Amino acid sequence: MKNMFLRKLPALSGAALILLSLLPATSEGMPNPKSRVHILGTGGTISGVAPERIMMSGYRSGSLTLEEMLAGVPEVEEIADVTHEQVINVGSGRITDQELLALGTRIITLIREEPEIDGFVVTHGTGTLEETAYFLNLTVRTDKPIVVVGAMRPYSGVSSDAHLNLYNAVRVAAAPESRGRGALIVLNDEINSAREGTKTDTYRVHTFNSREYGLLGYADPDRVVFYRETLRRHTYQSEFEIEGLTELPSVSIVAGGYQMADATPFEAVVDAGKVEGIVLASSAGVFNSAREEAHAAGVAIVLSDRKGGGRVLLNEERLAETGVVTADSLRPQKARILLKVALTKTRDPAELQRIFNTY
Amino acid sequence: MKATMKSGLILMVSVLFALSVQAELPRVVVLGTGGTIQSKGDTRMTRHDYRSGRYDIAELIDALPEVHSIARVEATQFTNVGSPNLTMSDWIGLATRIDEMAANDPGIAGFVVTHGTNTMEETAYFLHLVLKTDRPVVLVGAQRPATSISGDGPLNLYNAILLAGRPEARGLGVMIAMNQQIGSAREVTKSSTYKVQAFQSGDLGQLGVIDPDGVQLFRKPTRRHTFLSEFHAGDFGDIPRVEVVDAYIEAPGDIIDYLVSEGVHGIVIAGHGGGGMSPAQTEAVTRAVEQGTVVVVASRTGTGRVIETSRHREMGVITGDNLLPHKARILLQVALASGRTKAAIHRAFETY
Repeated sequence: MKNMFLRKLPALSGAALILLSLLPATSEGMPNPKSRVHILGTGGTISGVAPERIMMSGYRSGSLTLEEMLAGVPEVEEIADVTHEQVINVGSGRITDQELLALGTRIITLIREEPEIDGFVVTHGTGTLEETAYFLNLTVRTDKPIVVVGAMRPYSGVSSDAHLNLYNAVRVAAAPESRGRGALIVLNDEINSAREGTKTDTYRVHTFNSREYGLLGYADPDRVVFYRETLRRHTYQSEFEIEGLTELPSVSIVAGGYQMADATPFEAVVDAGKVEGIVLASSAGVFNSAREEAHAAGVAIVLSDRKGGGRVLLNEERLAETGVVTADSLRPQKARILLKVALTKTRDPAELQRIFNTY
Repeated sequence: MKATMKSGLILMVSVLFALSVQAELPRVVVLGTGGTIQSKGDTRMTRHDYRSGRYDIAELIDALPEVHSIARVEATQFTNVGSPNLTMSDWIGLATRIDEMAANDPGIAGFVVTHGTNTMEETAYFLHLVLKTDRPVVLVGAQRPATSISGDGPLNLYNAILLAGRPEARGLGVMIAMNQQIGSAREVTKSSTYKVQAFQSGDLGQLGVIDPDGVQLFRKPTRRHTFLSEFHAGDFGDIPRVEVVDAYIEAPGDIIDYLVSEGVHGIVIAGHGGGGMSPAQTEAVTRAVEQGTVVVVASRTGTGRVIETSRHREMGVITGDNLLPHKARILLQVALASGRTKAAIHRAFETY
């Protein structure tokens, strides 16, 4: 609990402040006085350890606690008063709705009970990081920065990006400029909006980008700098409420869109009777009859697209006749998160469509 | 007789309906400056060796009657040249014209400027820095001549008019709308010689799209521009001379010395990496700064910021943030034309 000690010893934090004032005065993004940043650890490659430094795969995610990770990056103390808690410590493939709800609810509680916290950092495995980030973007009603961070190389790896990414995440969460911009994904010195930020490469450090809509800004060596605001509703503008929820509606993604794709996977999902919604990752027409069947069974259907860029255009007639909602520019995995959250409020296709047009 | 009366009535009602629909449409002013979008090739297959500025803007609009169902279009030819022929005086004239129209006529929803694509982003950024209106100003061009097979001009023009008429496009500054993509004037740049998707905005991306169902905006630029800008084309004194010098291996310093002896007011170095240059250039830039020339260091890399280093401070140069060298040149020119001090120019590069 080294960092907690620092916060509680006035002499030591005074020394840290003097040190801070000696730093070059080029850092506009550096908060003064120090911001308070709270980190919530969930695991992932950023906390991964491999037997050898050059092992970039085959490591164990969630090997290190936040306490241990922060011990290797003491410089964060120069930019913020950091507190932390280990929520879980797993690879991102093991994050469930329960973890999402627990994480979101915990941040909401902290915002209410510890108003002195200026910003939040969530460490996370990169595989599903964008899903958790978008969930927080939709459900935590605050203008305080929420930064979701991960790494592509294990903490123990040679030239690991874990240490700098963690440092930058704290810096972005501490920067007053980051307020009101929604949940952010920060890796590789780049700041993405949670809505568009997506993992685009299996192993490279520049894996996260926002495709055609680009970055919001940079966590550069001199300062945190923004060039864009996102225009879709998020965080403090959100209408969604998750406090008190113990589960989220179940939503599956059906791929489709490949040659000779038929309705079998779709029907299997509907027939299993466990889902309240389905996101189609392709608009292939073979699902027409199946869609009608699902609609009749009360399953919400959202049409997204797997291509990675571009929007699925709204078809008012199809919406009215078959209840098929279009996902706008959301990728299937993001459409799934929004549908889950939206289904906590409404099942009406027209209302679902309004939500997909707005968030 | 009865049938005639009935059909006459229907005609009258439909004309009235059309007129009332027309009256509700946004008024969009289209100013033509020329370029490939107004050009003529010898054959339909001519796509690289054609003559700019051969069609009047009115002819383009005549060939695109569909725009009358999305806007009340008022088209005027401002000039009709290829974009390399435009001068800063033309820019000032264009800015003054748009500002006057916007100030005198609140009924105008937005403006479209047709333009050659090669230097379109420079005109766009100039207007972005000096215009006083918050109404959308959309620059548009074409990558294929007006006579070309599968020419992109008509749809680009249609989309630009659609965007300029949209209330949600207000306050976003000057935009370039090509290939259904909306770029912000500050970052958007021509990144391909002949492809229709030439206009890209690097890692900061586009503001939105113009899809078959209409305009969708996802991003707002946060640097100062147009109605939030301190610069005003009407205040400009003499137009300062600002030149761009490339950095490369063994780049000589004498080009910089010559420019200083010629009395240029500012120099932009298109540095390598994070604003580096050759040793000879470093010495020449130091001499230039000592003699009062304002030097801005940008980067030739295409994305990323130039961050001030101790070397930059020793040389007395201003760092160009993430502006491309030819955009840094325009900001420097605008700041010098507005009589700004070096400290104020330094601030401008962190703000605009």
